[in-house]
Amino acid sequence: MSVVSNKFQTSLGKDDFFTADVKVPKGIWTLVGEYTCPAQQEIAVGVTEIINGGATGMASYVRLDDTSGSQLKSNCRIRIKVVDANDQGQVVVEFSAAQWSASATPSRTASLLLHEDSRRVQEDSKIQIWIYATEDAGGIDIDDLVNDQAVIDYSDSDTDINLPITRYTVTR
Amino acid sequence: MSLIPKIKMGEFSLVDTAIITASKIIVEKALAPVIGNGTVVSGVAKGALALGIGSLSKGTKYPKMIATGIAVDATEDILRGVNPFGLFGGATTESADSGVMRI
Repeated sequence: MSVVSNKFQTSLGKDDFFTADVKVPKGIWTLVGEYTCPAQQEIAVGVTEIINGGATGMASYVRLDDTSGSQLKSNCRIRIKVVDANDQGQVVVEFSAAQWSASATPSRTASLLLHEDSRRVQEDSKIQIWIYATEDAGGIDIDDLVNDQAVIDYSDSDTDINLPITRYTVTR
Repeated sequence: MSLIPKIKMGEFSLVDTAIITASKIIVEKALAPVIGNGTVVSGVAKGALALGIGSLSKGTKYPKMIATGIAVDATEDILRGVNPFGLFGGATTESADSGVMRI
């Protein structure tokens, strides 16, 4: 039996998921990146905060730019999955348009507010971000790109992820 | 069939234990929304109920059986509520987040 010893409300950034450019072919669900749960921890996507007496989710932010400088947005879809270490079991915990936030940074009024999800990854299980791009990925015509694929530009400072998570330290 | 009431398990006959058990289960479920379950408070309330029924029964058999069932549940609640030395498990955060699915 695992016993929770501490609970931290924090977030994952783009460096936690990927550290190089990611190729995104059109019409295929593509893994953007994954974060592996460290030893003796459990992680749930999202953070539930109490603000003015009401429980609310924490603001998240995902923006993925192509190497051409355009943003992968309106015709793209993003899934956040929790997946076990052996890729045997997975659950989609969030599904959204690729541009989560209308503002430049996580904003309570413009961002997708993520409550703490009831599904937690354990040690060695993974939180994954997947993207699906259609031919016309919101301003980018993927057919016009080299090899019919967009390339998420890791080094572009506009490309950013801020995924709130609730991290538990556990003992067994 | 006439044998069954004569079979004794410890102090009580099979029929008696059935009544005791039924009264425990039914009362536990019926009172849970009102006074809760598994806590010292619910145990004390059930204990008082068992005392009341027991004293009103004036020695008649079946009310005594019913009171016994409630008393068993009352002591169970108190023991689980106090949980001496963690003997009865539970009382960890594990039970608090039973709705959590781990992947």
